[in-house]
Amino acid sequence: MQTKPDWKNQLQALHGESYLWSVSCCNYDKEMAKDVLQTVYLKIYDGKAIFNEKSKLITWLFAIIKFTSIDFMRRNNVRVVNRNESQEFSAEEVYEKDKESWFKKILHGLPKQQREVLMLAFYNDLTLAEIAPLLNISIGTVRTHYERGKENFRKQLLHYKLDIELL
Amino acid sequence: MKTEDDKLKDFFKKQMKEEINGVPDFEPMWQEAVTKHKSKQGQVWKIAASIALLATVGLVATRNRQDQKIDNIKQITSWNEPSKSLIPPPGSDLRVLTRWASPTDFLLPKNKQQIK
Repeated sequence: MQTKPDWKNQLQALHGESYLWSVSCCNYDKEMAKDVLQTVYLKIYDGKAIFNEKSKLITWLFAIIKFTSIDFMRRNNVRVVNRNESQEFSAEEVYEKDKESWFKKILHGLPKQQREVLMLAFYNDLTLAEIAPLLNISIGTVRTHYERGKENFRKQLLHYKLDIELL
Repeated sequence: MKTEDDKLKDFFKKQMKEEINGVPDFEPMWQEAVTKHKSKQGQVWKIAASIALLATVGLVATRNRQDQKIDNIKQITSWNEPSKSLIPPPGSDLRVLTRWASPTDFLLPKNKQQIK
């Protein structure tokens, strides 16, 4: 059984990725994301969330963050709108909360599940099989979001006339 | 040669490194979790102590009520009938009999009366 210092070291190593994932889950509300992550750390410290070593630590941790963020958003009456997958979106339809870079504009402009799948696959090196239980969807659905997410992202790069190799 | 997916992945990684610079520090967040955990434990002890105190008070109150009932029972058993004074006690007529004097004693001469 892991001691509290072991937990602390492991969580510290994943802290940056955990926070960015929490921000994504909270629709880029950074204050809520911080509260969510705080609550997750408390759950782990209290022993309410126990790692059973059946999956990778990061997958387990991200699942807790995801479910905790859903609770927070319900409590704050925040409705999560999943964009219609077949709908064409314009570059102007971006989230207002973060306009620091065009990269964030494009990422924030993607439908939520496409964005989450791309972040988990590219930021955190998770496989599609690992992403599926975390988002509570099938592997087939994950693959669909992954492919469409990449396609939409590249469309927006073309729209902005950007070449990622030059950046 | 890198695939399109590899290039996209490298690009995302690079962007992530820039974003991580804006992440709040881990240590204060962890310490806050530790503090909240300790204060929760303190609250648990307070609640347990309150329950124990209430249980003790309840027990004492129940025993007092039982003692009260016993006292009431004792009062009933020691109850005296209010008209008791009107009724002579049993056996009191026997004393009357033992103290009975002959109504014709006065007819006997005084010196004979003295002989008993």
